[in-house]
Amino acid sequence: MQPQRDDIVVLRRAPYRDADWIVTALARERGVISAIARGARRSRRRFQAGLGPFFVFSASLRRRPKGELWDLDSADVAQGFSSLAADVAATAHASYGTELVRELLPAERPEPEVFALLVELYDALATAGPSAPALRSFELRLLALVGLAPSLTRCTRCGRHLPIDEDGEVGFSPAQGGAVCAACEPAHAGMSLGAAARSLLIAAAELPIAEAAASLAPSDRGTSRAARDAMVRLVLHHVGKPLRSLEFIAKLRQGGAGGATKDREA
Amino acid sequence: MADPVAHLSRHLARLPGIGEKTATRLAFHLVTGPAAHARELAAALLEAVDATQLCSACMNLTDTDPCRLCADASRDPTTLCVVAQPSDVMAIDRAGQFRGRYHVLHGLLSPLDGVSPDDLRIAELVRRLEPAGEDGERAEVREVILATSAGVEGETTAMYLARLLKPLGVAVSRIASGIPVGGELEYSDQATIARALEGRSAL
Repeated sequence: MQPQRDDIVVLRRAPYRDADWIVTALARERGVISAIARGARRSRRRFQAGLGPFFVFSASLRRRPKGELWDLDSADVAQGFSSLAADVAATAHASYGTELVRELLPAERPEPEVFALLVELYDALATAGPSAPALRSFELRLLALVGLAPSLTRCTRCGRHLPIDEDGEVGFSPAQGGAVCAACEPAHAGMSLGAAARSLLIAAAELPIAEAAASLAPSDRGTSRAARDAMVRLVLHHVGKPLRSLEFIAKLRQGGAGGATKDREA
Repeated sequence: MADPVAHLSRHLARLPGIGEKTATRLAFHLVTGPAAHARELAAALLEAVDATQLCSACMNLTDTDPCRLCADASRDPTTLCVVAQPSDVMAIDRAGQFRGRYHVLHGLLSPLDGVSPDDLRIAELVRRLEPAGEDGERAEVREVILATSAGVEGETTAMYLARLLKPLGVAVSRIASGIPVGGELEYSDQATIARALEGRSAL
């Protein structure tokens, strides 16, 4: 098989034998692929930056004659976001984005827009640090790209338009896929969503990540938490299992081991 | 394959770096070789497992508590080198440059793998740096050297520890990273060169 070039982001890697990695990667033109990188744990020349997370690599790939694995022959750093590592919360947020992409995308379905969105998240976090609105923008735009965008302006049950009323709350049901009106709510909503939190989510869904981070910082923590709780419940509903990075973020928020990042909301 | 050999092979295949074929080869080697060798290996394995514990001070693997490195009075108690794994202690000590004491974290922070601060021996490290005893006397440590790897997990762990430890009044430093001794610039990747330039030192 002839080698093919593609840009990849590593979503997961696991050691295999003495010197290899089994890698799950998002390839710009090929979607999520699994590949074996022989000698990658020893060769810094063929596999730069340790084939680690939060880099865009220009990779040489070969489809194996049998099975679903690719051979990853080399990976050169094309774009690096190593400054993420300077901030534990930023690393945790980038990890959450990475894990979410890994869990939501099927294998080998080309998703160049998701690739660009993930790189946009890394860039925003490396440039401006961690921010809750940045994550909301990422979550909502990712869900839209994979066909799982929540309905935030119409009732998911009856289709009624739900205008933003400053004092009004609507129901929010992850299972139903978004907002639920008062008439449908008692039976179908899992939680309620205030007007400020809903406005924040509607705006975040439309904005680039860096712009969401700069312009959507809510004035009160309650709004930020309500938006976060709604999105986390929605994401977990779609993924169908706990996410390790979310648990890590929750532990940081609780101030584990000295609370070095206690002030960073996700 | 006979059941006991298959059973042994399955257990060997659980070891890091051992695939199914290698495990089978090792299993056959053990059962077809002198029985005394296999018994000696089994005894050594049991002895190592039973006798090995964590040093109550540095968290390194040891058969005595405190470990030999912590008990060595000739080592500098004011400098602490923090590493991820026991094997890192061996690597640094082999270089012969460092004569202080160690602290082993037993891992690195990794949100992708769900490894959080609570999963590492960070609380034990903080305790070593806090005032000792009721008399309020400060612990002896004056400098902590963060010697975690230069990958994302190692850097993240180092930055987390730096923020945690600096308020305790100790100097916190990080091992240098960049071009290896004998390395060619031509073959270094851009991240390594960028790191080497960032960490340049005056001559």
